[in-house]
Parts: sequence; C-alpha cells; structure tokens
Amino acid sequence: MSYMHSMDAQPFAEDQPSRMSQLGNLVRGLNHPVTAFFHLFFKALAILAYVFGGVFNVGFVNLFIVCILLLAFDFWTVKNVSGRLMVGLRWWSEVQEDGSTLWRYEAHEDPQGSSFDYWVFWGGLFAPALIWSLFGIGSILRFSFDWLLLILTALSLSGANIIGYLKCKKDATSQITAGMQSVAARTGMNAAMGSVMQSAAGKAFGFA
Amino acid sequence: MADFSTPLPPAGGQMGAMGGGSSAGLYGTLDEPVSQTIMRDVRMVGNKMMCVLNPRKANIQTLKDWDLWGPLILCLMLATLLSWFAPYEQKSLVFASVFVIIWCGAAVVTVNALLLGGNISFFQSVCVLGYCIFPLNIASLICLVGGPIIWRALVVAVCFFWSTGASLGFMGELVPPNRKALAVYPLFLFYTSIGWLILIAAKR
Repeated sequence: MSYMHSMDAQPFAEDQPSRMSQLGNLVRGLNHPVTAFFHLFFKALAILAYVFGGVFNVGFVNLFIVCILLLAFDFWTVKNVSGRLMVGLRWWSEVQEDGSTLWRYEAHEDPQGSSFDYWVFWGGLFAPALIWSLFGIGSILRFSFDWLLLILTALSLSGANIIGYLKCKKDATSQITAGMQSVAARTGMNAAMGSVMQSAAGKAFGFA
Repeated sequence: MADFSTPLPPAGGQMGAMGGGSSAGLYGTLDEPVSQTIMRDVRMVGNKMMCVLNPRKANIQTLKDWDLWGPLILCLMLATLLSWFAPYEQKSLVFASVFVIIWCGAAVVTVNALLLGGNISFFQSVCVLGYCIFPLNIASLICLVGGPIIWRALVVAVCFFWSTGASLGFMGELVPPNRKALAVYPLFLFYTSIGWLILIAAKR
C-alpha cells in the first residue's frame, strides 16, 4: 500500500525528470559538450588528486607524478583543443631561422561557441590558477616546499595558457575596433559616434 | 570524440606539441581526429629519442621542432628511478631535487648560451638538453640493477659522454665558435651533476 502511495507521489515523480532536463538544457547550451568536459576534467582531477591524494597513502612521488601528468594533459587540451573550439582562439609559436621565437595569436572572426561555452572556457582557465595560488600560500605557510614545486609547475602551465589566450583576445578586440574605426572614417561619422561604436564592439565581446 | 574534429576554417598552422614549437608545416591538420594528433606527437617524441641515442645520424632539424613532452617524461622517469632506492624519509627530497636540478639546470645552461650570443630559441635549447638526458636514464636503470662500483662508474661515464656528445653537436653549432668553450663548460657541469647523482643514488 505504501508502495502504491509513493508511486502516486506527484512532486517526487516530477522532480526527477525536470532536474534531468535542466541538466540536459545545460549541456545543450554548450556547442561543444565533449570539449567542455575535457576542458574541466583534467583540471578537476589534478586538484582532487592534490587535495585527497594523501588519503590513499600512495606516497609523495607517485602523487606528484600523477598530478604533473594531469596538469600536462590539461595544458595540452586547453592549448590545442578547447580554446580553438570553444572560443575560436589559438596561440602557438614558430622558431625563426635566426633562432628567435615568433609567437602567433589568432582569433576566429566568428566563434562557434555559445555564450555558455565562453563562460565555461574562461572560468575554467582562471579558476584553477586562483585555486593553485591559494594552495601555494598554504604550502608556504606549512613550509612544505616539495609540494610548492608542483604548485609552481601548475601555476606556470596555467599562466602560459592564460597569457596566450588573453593576447589572442586582445588581438581580436583590436582588430574589431580597428575595423570599426575604418568604417567610421569612411562613412564620415564623427568621433563621438565612432567611440560609441567601439565600446559597443567591446561590449559584444564581453569587455568594457 | 567527433566533437574534436570540427574544423575551424581560417586558423592556419599546426596543432603543435605541448610547447607548440613544431614548424614542420603541418597544415591541413584541422580536420583530423584527436587520436591522430596524439599519435603524431608520440611518434615525434620517439624520433627525437632515437636522434639522441644515435647523434651521428641525427638530423638537427628533428631536434629544432621542440616539444617539452619528452623532457618531462625523461625527467619524471629519472627522478622516480633515483627516489626508488632512496631511504623512505628521503624519497620526496631526492625526487624534488632531481626535478629541480634538471629543469633549473637546463634553464641556466640555456640562458648562458643565449647570453653568449647563440642564435637559438630558449625552448629549443631546453628541449635538446632534456632529451639528451635519455642515455643517463638508461645508466640509472642499469646501475639500479646493481653491480660493483667500478662497473657502475663505467656505465655512468659512458652514458655521460653519450649525453654530452649528443647535446654538444647541437649546442656547439649554434654558439659563435670563439665562445664555444664557455657554452660547453656549463653543459659538462650539468650532465656531470646528474651522472654523479645516479652514481651515489645507486649505492644503497
């Protein structure tokens, strides 16, 4: 009897599918759900391994290696896959004949990602750097300098990606504002109008 | 995985390795599945290791396409091997020291070569120095198996010359000839210190 009753319980029966559909909507808001997953997956695993790795008593060396490899996989994913697909940005380097390094920053004119892709990407880029720097302060206060090594590695890897993608984005904005300025000049718009256009372009990209 | 293969039309260039230094003109890689990208990087790392093992046949261009996967893996391998036989309370210390010595040492040797006017990029040099540790990895593997001190010293010495010889071929060419000795000396120190670590770590 009680079994029948619970089957009839409307709120519970409706609650489950609606939550599922919420999750579905969330995933559907992403144009690249698989990329978004891997964008966050390795970062989260590395942080979890650092925080909870001590529980499994695997020793410093093994835990360190696992964390470093996860961080390197994350770096590779963010640099080569997720930035390109989720926000249409890419950075890389070329070595010139004379040995100097030429850094290239590239921005897609019409990114394919949705605005949710955009937030997941940039959030996933900055949040781990923030978390690792908090860990870093903690490890300095505890005088555990061997772990500080891992944290410095994590910070330099995510820092490289942050700098690379910020430069890409700056490049994209300056290209767009330059385009706007030339439009303003050509059509004989006055300076005030031109600056309005520029800030509108900035807003469209989430700056300003 | 189909998601990864979505093309992004105007973006030229290559996918690159971890460091992204490859300049081999790998255009047309935008549509490939991620498995192919990964396999290409894995093959590239393997090629470079073979270059180091056989420096005479090595093509300098192979080592100029830098990546940091190989140095990372070799560094982790060496640090693990050496910490394996360390006393329990010193394991983390040995591991961390080897890690720091390899990365900071490579950086210092590189900066020195750059200041001497070598026309080489920072990451290229770190990549070469990192890959050239490979013979010393083999030495540490052999030494940890055991044997008398003479045998171990011999193995380390042979592998030290192997490592130094492989990296010399590369570094020597990129530094002005009249300053070659100044660039090569820190290189010797770098590999000597690693070789010495291997020799004493295997003492048990």
